[in-house]
Amino acid sequence: MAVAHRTAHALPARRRPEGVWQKLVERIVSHTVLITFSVIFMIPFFWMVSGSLKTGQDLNAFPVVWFPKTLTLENYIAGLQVFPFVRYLFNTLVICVFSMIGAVLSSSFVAYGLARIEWRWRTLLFVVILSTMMVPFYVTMVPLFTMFRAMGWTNTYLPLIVPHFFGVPFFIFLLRQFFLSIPRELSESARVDGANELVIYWRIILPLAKPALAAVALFQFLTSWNDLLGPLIYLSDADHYTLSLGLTFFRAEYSSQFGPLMAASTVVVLPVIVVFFFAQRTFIQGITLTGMKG
Amino acid sequence: MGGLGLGVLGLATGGCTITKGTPPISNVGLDKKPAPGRKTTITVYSVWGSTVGEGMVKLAQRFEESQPDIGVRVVYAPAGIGGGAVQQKLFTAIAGNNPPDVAQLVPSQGPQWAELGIMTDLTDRYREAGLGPDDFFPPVWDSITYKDRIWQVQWDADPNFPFFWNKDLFEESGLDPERPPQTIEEVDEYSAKILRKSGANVTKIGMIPWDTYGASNSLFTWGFAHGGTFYDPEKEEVTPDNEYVVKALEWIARYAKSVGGADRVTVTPPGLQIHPFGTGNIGMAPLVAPNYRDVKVNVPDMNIGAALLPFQAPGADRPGAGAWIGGWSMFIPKGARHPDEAWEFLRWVGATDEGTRAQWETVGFPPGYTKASVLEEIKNDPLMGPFYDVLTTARNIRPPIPVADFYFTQLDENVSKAVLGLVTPLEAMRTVKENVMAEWDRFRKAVKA
Amino acid sequence: MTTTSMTPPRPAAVGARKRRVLASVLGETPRERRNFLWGLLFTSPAIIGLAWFTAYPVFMSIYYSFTSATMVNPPDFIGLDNYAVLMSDSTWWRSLANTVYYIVVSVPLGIAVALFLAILLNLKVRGQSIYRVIFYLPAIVPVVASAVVWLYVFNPQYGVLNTVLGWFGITGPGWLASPDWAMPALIIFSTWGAGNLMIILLAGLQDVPQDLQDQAMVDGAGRFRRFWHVTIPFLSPHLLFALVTGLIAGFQFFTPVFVLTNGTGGPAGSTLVSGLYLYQNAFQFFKVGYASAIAWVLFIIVALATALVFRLVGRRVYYGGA
Repeated sequence: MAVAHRTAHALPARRRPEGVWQKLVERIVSHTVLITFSVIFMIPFFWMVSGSLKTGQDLNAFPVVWFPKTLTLENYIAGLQVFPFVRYLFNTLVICVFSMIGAVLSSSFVAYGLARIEWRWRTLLFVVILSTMMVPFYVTMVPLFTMFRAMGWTNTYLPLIVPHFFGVPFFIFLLRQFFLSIPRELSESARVDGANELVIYWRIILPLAKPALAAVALFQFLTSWNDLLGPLIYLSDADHYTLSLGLTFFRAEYSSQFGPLMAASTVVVLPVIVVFFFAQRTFIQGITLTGMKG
Repeated sequence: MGGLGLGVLGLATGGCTITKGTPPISNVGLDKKPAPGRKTTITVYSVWGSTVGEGMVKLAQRFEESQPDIGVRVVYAPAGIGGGAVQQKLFTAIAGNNPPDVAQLVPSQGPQWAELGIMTDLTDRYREAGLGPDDFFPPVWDSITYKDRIWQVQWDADPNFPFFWNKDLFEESGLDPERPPQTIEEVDEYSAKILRKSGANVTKIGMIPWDTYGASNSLFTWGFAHGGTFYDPEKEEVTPDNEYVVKALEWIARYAKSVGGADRVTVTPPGLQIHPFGTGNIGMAPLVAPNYRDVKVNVPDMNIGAALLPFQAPGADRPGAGAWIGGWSMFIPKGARHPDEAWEFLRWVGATDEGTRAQWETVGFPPGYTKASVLEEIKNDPLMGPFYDVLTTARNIRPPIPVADFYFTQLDENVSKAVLGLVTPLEAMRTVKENVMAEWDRFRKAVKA
Repeated sequence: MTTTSMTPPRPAAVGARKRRVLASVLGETPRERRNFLWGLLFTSPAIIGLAWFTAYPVFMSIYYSFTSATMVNPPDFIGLDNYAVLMSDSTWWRSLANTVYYIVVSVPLGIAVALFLAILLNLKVRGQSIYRVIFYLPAIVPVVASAVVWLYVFNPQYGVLNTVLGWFGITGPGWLASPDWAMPALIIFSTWGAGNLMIILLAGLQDVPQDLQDQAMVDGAGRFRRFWHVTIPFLSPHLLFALVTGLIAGFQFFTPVFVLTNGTGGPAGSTLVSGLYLYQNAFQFFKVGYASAIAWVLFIIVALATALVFRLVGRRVYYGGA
């Protein structure tokens, strides 16, 4: 690497005192901006949680009550009893975990084929896969249902899980972009060393793309977690229903039971927060990829 | 740093208390397995959540208790996104040749669904059961029949609407709290006295005529109140350009203009779970029973009067002329596995004394069956009394044409345009007529083929 | 071996043609052939998935678009009728205009906001993890809960937005109640949900090599120039991704409109976007054939737009490895 010598001691003397001030100002500004945005972003979540703790009176009070004087747990007790919460939680977890695994494995596998191997048809295939994203779900919904019915998959979780093991176009595209950013030399030198593509995929590329894979896992989890239409049309045995269906229990034609709905929504959001927390831990500045020999 | 939200909460509430409270809803659940050991089991789709859904389950239980042969399986099948009218699950089930035995529909959807061939003709069954037009309120009978055949059983005859007014607000504004407006002209007079503004925003208003449960429902209500009709059964065409309908729309648009524009009227923040009438900033409003109940429960010190809808001569000639019956019906999808037993359920719920009483006690909607003894109780019920009055005097239903949903959507859009002053009411209604007739034509061709 | 002029050289010629065809598919050199096989192997799940789960529904919906299908009855072939009617359907054109308006504003805005937030979340500050969770919250709160908040935020009289505007002496507009401001309100709402894009860009930021940044800093490059010349190129693959997926999603934008306008498409049809119009036709009017035609016309438009983006922007993307 040609630049190695131009580091460390190069700072001109007159920069140093300003550097200290600058850093302090930077830190204050960053924290202020972060906190301001935090407050703004917390609002819907706060509304949901505070609504879940409000009494019926406060929920209907006018003007709107942001901080209730009386907190109550009645909404949680009610909200979690209206539908079999634990069972639905289990059902939803089953669907989410398997979908997540399927999506991460299959999408990365396919993306590897589109990004790390130079072959003639890869662009065409990419275009075809991309195009499937452009078809709105509502028009393929009924034929898809008929097809699953013919296969005997209705009233099971299969339509909700299995397709994810064959690549999810959105994630394939996402991972393709990430894989394309990894220097070709890494693959080449491994091939020269005699590794086959599967080994390169598993041992070299995947570890380098951890943040992206975490993002895919998170998104698939979230998508499956909140999916309403899929479970609605494919499941008819209420024992198999999911949390998103459970949340619709609070809605009647002209009104909703807001308190219990907020309580149930809060509980339903918590696992996603946990998953996110762990996913984002991979988002740390990883290995630098240029000058890897330097 | 973490507990930002909770910290703020703690700061603000200071001396806050935490209670366990009493849960507002039970855990009956919204679906139900059939009673064991029955000869046949029917599947009923329930479209609602919340207390209504629970009521359906209990209703199914009562049906099972009332006879030994038929078991009922209730499947919770809500609409996918907000509201109960688009039933994705039902349609995919029908398309996939796996329909339930009993499904729900809004009565105005009947003609279209009948033409699409997904409903079972019930005419013979009605006849065998000895049921005829005398057994049902006239608007209900109009709803369930189409082209001289009978297709549905209306079990919820929702009376739209009684007319409520805020007696306290009347008094504040210098009006006699015991004297509601009888005519639309009087509504205008009263509203002028109630109106209060703060800058460009309206803080108190007499009524919000363009928001009586949506733009199209508003036009139906006030259109009927002016004596208008929305379709001509003989000519088989829609008549939104009927002179009284146009007059009604002109009135609504004028009203909006007089308060400074429909987009400046928000006398309530929509964080509320009860109808804005409950804020005390609206003088008069038509309300549905669940909303009325909410207001009475949550704002107990508001004095509310109830009467029939105001009307406007010369098109209409009596109070309550604007009322129409909406609600829900049940039907038997074509291809249902157990149509006979399904009919037993339908008949019991919608056209027997015992069943209508059970429905009232579990779900709580007014029945469409005139011979239901439970009507006496509804009449005397402090909450439902006004609704009984409307139920027994209403004459209208929304136009029962095969492209009703399209008609309503067109009305939503064009009424909104007229109210905002973007087009004149007459132009708006002419557009609606043009579009709906074209659609009706297209639909006729599509089902004939 | 020698051939005489009497024997027609057909077997050899046919063999040669077959070899040429095979070569054009599989590859000419052993290396190309090897890559082809590996490529096929890795993408086989997607190929199988396409054949199994996608092909039939897609072909059926194309077929429906040439019929007067109603979803519950067997469809009748009517040729190009649906497309012809669509071309003269003013509601369709209006919905397309609304959709384009939405896309042109919300996609760049969303990317800019997401990038800004991602950079903020990449700062090495204490509590970084907590900030990340908080910034992502809007994207995971269920729509039922956030919709109510937003109706409150946009309330012309009491809403948060207009109150804040009032502090600066501006009378806020009617937002969701006004035909001119309903779409801007929806754009603001969907920018709020930029959480997902923010995460992707954050992941992308991890790959921006720190040593290049340091080197640039040492070379005297200011913050902005470092950003433009080091960070952006390394983020460009993901920015392209954001642009393309934003475009695709924008044309199908639907759920927030439905929830915030009660399925009506906003005051006077001002927020009737193509996705909503499609939904109405499929499920409220039972015009599945027509809805399918809408879907496929939308498809063509999106495909063209995407191709354009790849052509214009795609070339300037810097792929570190390719």
